[in-house]
Formats: sequence, structure tokens, C-alpha cells
Amino acid sequence: MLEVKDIQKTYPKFKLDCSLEVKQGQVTGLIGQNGSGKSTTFKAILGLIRIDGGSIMLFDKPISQLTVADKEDVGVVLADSGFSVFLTIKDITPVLSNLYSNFDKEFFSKQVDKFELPWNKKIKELSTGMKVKIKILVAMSHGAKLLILDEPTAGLDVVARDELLDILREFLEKDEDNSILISSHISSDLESLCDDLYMINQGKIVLHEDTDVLLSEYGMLKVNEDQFAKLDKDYLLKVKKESFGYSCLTNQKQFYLENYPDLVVENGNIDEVITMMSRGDK
Amino acid sequence: MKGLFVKDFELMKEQKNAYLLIIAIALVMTIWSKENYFAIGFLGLIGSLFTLSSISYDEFDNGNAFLFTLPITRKGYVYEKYLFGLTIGICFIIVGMMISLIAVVINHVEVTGIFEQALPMLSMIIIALALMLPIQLKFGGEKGRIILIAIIGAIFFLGMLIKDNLQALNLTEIIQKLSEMSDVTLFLFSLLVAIVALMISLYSSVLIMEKKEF
Repeated sequence: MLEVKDIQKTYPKFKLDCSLEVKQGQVTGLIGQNGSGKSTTFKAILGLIRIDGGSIMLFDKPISQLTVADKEDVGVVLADSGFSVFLTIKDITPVLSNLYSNFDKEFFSKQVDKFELPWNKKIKELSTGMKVKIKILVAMSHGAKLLILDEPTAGLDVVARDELLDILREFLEKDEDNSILISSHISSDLESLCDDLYMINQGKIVLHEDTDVLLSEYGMLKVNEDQFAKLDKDYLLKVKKESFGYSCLTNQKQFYLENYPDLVVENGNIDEVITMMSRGDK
Repeated sequence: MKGLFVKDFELMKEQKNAYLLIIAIALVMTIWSKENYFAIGFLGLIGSLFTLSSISYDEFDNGNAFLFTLPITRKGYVYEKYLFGLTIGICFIIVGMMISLIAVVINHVEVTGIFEQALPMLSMIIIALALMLPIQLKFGGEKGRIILIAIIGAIFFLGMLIKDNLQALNLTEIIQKLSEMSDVTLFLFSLLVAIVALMISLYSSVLIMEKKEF
């Protein structure tokens, strides 16, 4: 559905160089710290910036050849941009029905009422949670096949985040071919939703793995100096010096559990994996 | 493009009070000054300026990034801005004509020349849009305004230079010929100039937008 191949974008103090893929019917997550290149990747995919190299294919076409009709099949949420904040929901409804041939006004109205969003208040007067919900509803109300969501959970409290994830699940249930590309720096959001995850650090993809594999086969070894010296290091991805000895990230948790029964092996946790992948040494 | 048009109209509602005030000023000025056709020029030009403020609204709060993920093209966006400016300009000329009509009735003068006043305004609006839109799109709201003032200043200066050197430039003959033209020919001539300017302007605006990153 979406294939990003070796795209490059150079800024004075930052270089993006990444590849990723979103398969039909899948939810792909992009995790990284602030400033790691998530938004730049999204902007490149959306054609908002020009890339210096590489290629981006969406619906089997280079993005430069996408038609207006193709763009109707994509729903977008950007963390730092949206409809003019001087408009109300009532104002944007006719705008949407004139922009999208498949705009489902009934669905949109129902959801607005369901989430108790005010029709006649300017967007700038609404809470962060309400603003995000409007963005998501807009993205979902025109029969999109792919949602591209950049940090949709930013600034939301736990309850609002849960509601948002529920809306996304509904979108996935609507059609099994529907796909989502979502970014976040809060990994727990993505753990329960994504089929696979990409981790980005300093503009580079440092890890790509199925979420299930990440949670079941990745582990963190906590070892002292002696244990570390005797440890088979073939299956360690990253090592980080700690006060007690070393933290080691592995993608073969079972191997260490079986061969080193005395070691402390903690289950894979996405936040730890991110920290290790971005700060650990090998 | 229709969606963008609707969006700009919805945003225009936001400035409703400003319009009403401007229309009221035009009404009072026209009747009071007995310059019965003042409102046509005044409103026509100010009306077309509102497309510039719609660009500022789009830019506000990084709005353009989201805007260009919608099913529109950059070219379509540019065309819409020109069309919007032209539409509002023409609507305001019509309001200006109505005000002039009211002024004419109140001031007890014969109704002559409303169309003669209104039609050249059309060319004026087109030329104003052709000049202003690429600057606004290239430099954005704040910087665009300063650059626009500088350009208008430069044009006046150039105009003065030309006027002072009419003889040397041998323009007297051309001006003589222009003044010999009938009103209709003059209007058509100005419209032609305006349309050529519009085409060049549209072309540059599309280039400017296609280069932009959000």
C-alpha cells in the first residue's frame, strides 16, 4: 500500500535516511524520540517536502503522480496542523462534502454528537482532546483506505487516548484492507494497535520488527561484570553500561533463559527497546 | 477546488464586521463627498484584497501543512485564490454600483456613467490581483505586505520618471493615441493588458507554490 525506499532529506543539522513499508490491512507504527525524524518522514510521504533521494510509492504509484482522487483515499492527522482554528465543525462540514466525493455526512454528524463535540464553537476554543477527535473524525469520514497519523495522541490524557484507539479499531474493522501508519513517542499506544513497528533514531530506522515478536522474543538481560564476561554475546543487539554492570538487549530471550538460568531476563518492553536502540552500544 | 472556495467563504464570515464597516464607510463617503462613483472603485479594490487575507488565514498556525494533504493540488490552490479574489472583487463592485445608485438618487443627479465607472474597475482588480497574489504566496502575510508597499512605491517612482521624460521616451504619441480611443476600445484594451498580466502572474504563482515546503 505504501512503500518508502531509501528516502533522504538533508537539513543543516539533520539528515533523514529511511525506508519503511505499510502493507494492506496492516497497522504500522513509527516510534522515535522528539526530533528523531518521524514528522519529516510523514511530510515526505505526504508530499509536503521535497526529498533529495529515494522513492515513495503510494497505491502503487510514485507520490508525484497521485491524483486528487487518489488523495481522497488517504486520511491524514498531523500533530501541529489542521483546519483553520477560526472555523467551527458546522463550517467544515460543507467544506468536507465539497472536497470528498465519498464524504459520509451521516457518520460524521453521528460521531460528532457521540463525542459531544460542539458544532458551533470555533476550533481554537476547544480542548486538546476535542481538537484531536475532530482531526481523527475528518480523516475517517470519507472512506479512506489508509490513515496517516502523526502523533495523534500527543497531549491527550489516558481516557482520551483510549477513546482514540477505539475509534481507530473501528476504522480497521470497517474493511479488512484498511491500513494505518501511525507515529508516536508513547509506545504503549502502539503496542496494542500495531502489527509491526519501526524505530527511528537520528533520521535512521534502527529497528523493524513485528510487535508480537518484539514483545515475546526481545528481552533485557541485567548482568554484573562477571556474568557479562562469561556471556555468549552473539545474540545481543545492544549493550549499555550501568552502575550494577550491564543492560543487554537481545532478540533471543529464550536462548538466554535456557542457557543461563541464573540471569535476570526481563520481558521486552518497547520503551526499553527504544532507549537501548538509541543509547546503547554494541 | 470547490471545497477550498467554500472554506474561504466560511473564513470570510469571520471578517463579516470588517466588510460591513467598509461598506458603511463607502456609503457615507460616496453620499457625503458627492463623488457619486467613489464606492465602485473603493469597494472593488478592497474586496479583491480579501483573498490576500484568506492566504494569511491558511498560513496561520502551520495550517498549510494540513491543507495540502487534502485532495487538492498546488495548482488548484493557486487558481482558487485568483478566482476567489475576482469573485469577491466583482461582488464588491456590484455593491459599489448599488451604493452609487443610492448616492445618485439622494444627491438628485442624473444616472449616467455607472457602467463606465464599473467596467474599468474590472481591469484594475485583475491587475491588482496579478501583482499582489504572487508576492503574498511567495513571502507570506507579514513580509508580503512590506514588499508590496515597496513595489507600489517603485511603480510610482517609475511612473514619475516616465512622466518627466515623456518627450525623451517619445510616449506622447502613444498617450495621444490612447486618449483618442473610444471608451469601449479603451476598456477592451485595458482588459487585454490585465488578462496578459493575469496569465503571467498565474504562471509565476503556480511555480512559487510548487516549490514551497510545509
